[in-house]
Amino acid sequence: MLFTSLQWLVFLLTVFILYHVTPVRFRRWVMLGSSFVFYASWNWRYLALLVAHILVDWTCGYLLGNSNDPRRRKLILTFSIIFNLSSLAVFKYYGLIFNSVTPLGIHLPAPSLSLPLGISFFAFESLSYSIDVYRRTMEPFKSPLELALFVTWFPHLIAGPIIRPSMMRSQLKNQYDVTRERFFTGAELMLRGYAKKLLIADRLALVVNPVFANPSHFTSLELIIAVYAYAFQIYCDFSAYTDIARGASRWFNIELPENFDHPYESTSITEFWRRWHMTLSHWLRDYLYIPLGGNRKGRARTYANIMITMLLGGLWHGASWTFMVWGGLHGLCLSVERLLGVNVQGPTGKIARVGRQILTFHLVCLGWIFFRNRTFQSAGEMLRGIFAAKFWISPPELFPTLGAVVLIILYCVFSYAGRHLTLPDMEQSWPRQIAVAVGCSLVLIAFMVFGASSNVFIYFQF
Amino acid sequence: MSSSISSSEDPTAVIHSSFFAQGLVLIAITIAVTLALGHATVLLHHPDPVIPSRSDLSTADHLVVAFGNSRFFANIDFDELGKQLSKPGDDVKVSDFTSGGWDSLHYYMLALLYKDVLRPGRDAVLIEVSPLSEDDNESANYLDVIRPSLAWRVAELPGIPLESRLDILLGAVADLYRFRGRIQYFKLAPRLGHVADLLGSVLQRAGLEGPPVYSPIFKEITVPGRKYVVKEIQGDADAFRNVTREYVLTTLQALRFGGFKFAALDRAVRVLRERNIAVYLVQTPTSRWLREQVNGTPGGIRFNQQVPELARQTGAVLLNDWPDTSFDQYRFSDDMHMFFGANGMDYFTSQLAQRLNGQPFTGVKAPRSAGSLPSSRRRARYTVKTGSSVSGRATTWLTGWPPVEIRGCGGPRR
Repeated sequence: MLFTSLQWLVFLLTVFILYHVTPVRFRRWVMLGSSFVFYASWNWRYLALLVAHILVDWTCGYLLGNSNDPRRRKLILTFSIIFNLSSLAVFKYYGLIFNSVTPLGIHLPAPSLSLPLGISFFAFESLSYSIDVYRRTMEPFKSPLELALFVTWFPHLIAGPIIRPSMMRSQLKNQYDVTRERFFTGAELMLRGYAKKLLIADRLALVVNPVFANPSHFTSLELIIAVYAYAFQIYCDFSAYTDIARGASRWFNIELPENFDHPYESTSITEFWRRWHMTLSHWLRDYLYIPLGGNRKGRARTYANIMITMLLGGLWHGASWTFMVWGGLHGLCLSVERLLGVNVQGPTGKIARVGRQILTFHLVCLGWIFFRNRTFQSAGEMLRGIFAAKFWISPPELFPTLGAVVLIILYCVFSYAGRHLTLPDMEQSWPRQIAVAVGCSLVLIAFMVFGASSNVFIYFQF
Repeated sequence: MSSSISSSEDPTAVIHSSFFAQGLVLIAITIAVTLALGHATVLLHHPDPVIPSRSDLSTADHLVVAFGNSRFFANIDFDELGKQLSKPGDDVKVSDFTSGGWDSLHYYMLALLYKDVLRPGRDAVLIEVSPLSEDDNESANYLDVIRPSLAWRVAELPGIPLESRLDILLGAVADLYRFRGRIQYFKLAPRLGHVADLLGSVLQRAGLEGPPVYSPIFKEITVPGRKYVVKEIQGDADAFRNVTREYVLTTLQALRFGGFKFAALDRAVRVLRERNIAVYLVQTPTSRWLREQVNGTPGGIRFNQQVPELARQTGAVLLNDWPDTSFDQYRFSDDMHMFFGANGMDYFTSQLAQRLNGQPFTGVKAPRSAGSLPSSRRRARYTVKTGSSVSGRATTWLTGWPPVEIRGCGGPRR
């Protein structure tokens, strides 16, 4: 059930109505039931896997909550970690393991399982619950249903944002009706998400896909524009998903965290990771980097920890060595910046700041080349093409290339304006509410005309 | 368990702050405004009529209508077929309602439209049949052409996937959705193409426009003014065939026959036959390679059993026993679409005409004025035209639909 599909619109509206006509004390059942229906609409067989994750981690949480024996607690946590990571290994990384060991003469059974949707997200969330209870930063959920609702809440189930159990816990107590402010801000977020997905990301995809499929067919300028286009496509695509998820959740009084903060305005890679996929960055920091020792165990260990965190972060995105390289590249940049003492706040001078932003953006784009290509061969082909110095556009590519440039400029203008415009409070401002309603009509029109040819959200595959 | 997740909220807060009812009204208004705007926009464009007009019926002794997809319009010259079927004083007019990617859902819709219009004993319907047209795994991309008044009939077919069902029903109430293909292809793409031309001249002056770094190793040359009918493959025809075969093999691996698509075909044939209208199920020839591939799949085997059975039960005529030379590879651009010209389209048109000549429906003479359209149909406006008059990457960029120009790769038509 894609967010850009008709089923989703019908589903959301149905759940919204059902939730509000249901007595308050039963509303969590509606939320939980609808989340299971949502997941089952992809593949009902994998519901069992989802339920297994919830039950195992709830049991671990329960046992951890009732135990004071450090050894026993460690054992329980280890079991939870092994279970969650094994599940990821079997369903997500077995193909990579198989492909990597086969040339070495090791023969494993051929992979036959398809990737359960959203496994990277729900496995991480479920695991973070066990860790938080182990650390005693939260009390265990009394009922598995509470954990189930936290893990499966449908708007964020497939592609995040990755939330913390403590963040959700307090909100699960408030099954109030939607307020005027929540209704309109939720609609506004969804509106923004749909505009980014349907009008920007999906259009850019049509430029990006043929170029990345056959890089040798294009000039350097076309390749460079395609890489820029991909940078904006993935940002608009993923942030659109987050916006829609956040907006939809607001209609049910659930506040999901921000995931992006204008990442391409970053003046360093360190800052980029504070603005890009923030919930994953925080997760990796809190549950991987810090447990590894963070920066507390000397310089060498700090750099090693950064590299390990980023390499695994890369691998989290997909079972491919190119993702590892992408993560490694970012880890290297983070390490170099740390070594050079790069100020995360960025330089104060305007020119220096813009210069650093441009440099950072291009480093990120370099990373995207490995992220988007599934083989080193095609990534290499693309890099060779970019440096072949053919700075012209050939007639067949004229329209898509120019279209991509225009879309990127338009997006930057709107994004800049949106950021620097002081909008009146939604609840008090009728014009803003009317603007949201008109915007919704326009996005519905865009959905009517373009919706059916929409692409799957990029982060669904992770 | 329920008590453990029950809430302890302040009920007064719920009453005072609820925006649910107003929100619902607002959503309804937004949807209504969008639908109304879409309807108004589409009205301005005056979609073409598609069902036979009074003149179609009054000027022909016999009307033969063909429901099919690209295999029909690539393999049959319908005007020529009409000429070959006509005899002095006994005129046969052939109308085709065909479009690339159409399948039995469309034929069922058309059968429902035509069943009361066609004249039993005088008119006939040709329906394209192929395992590929009845493949339940192939998502129907062209459901938007289902006529609103018949949307429910199509959507209620047993086994039809929920997404297709919703697509059809939304198309029935939202004109913008139903005509989105047409809007993208014929309205937006040409305008954007025009903008590209203007910008191109600016780039040219700036020296930023240059030759392509890659020349396609093959190119399909289509016949101007016709739907996507291929005249020749320039360049490496084997490479073209390899690309299309790869696509076909992928499709065949997942081919599923016997579900809702066959149910649609079954109903299409039955509604026409119940009115005593002659129905011909035409399985056009394919290359020998494809025939073997299809016949080797479980879906193909079931097709070969169930379609003749359907014909037998309903009294429809299955036309699939073409001379062996019809399957010669040189007649086809890929493996299922014939070339334009004597070896392809003209050849098969003659073959089909031979088979249809002397069939019972051509032997009945009646006054030309016989038959009339129900009043509701007279006002009907609708289009099934799709095609490729707009070519190039501008269209592809906008729509994401299969490109018309192939750069050494690409999927074949269905």
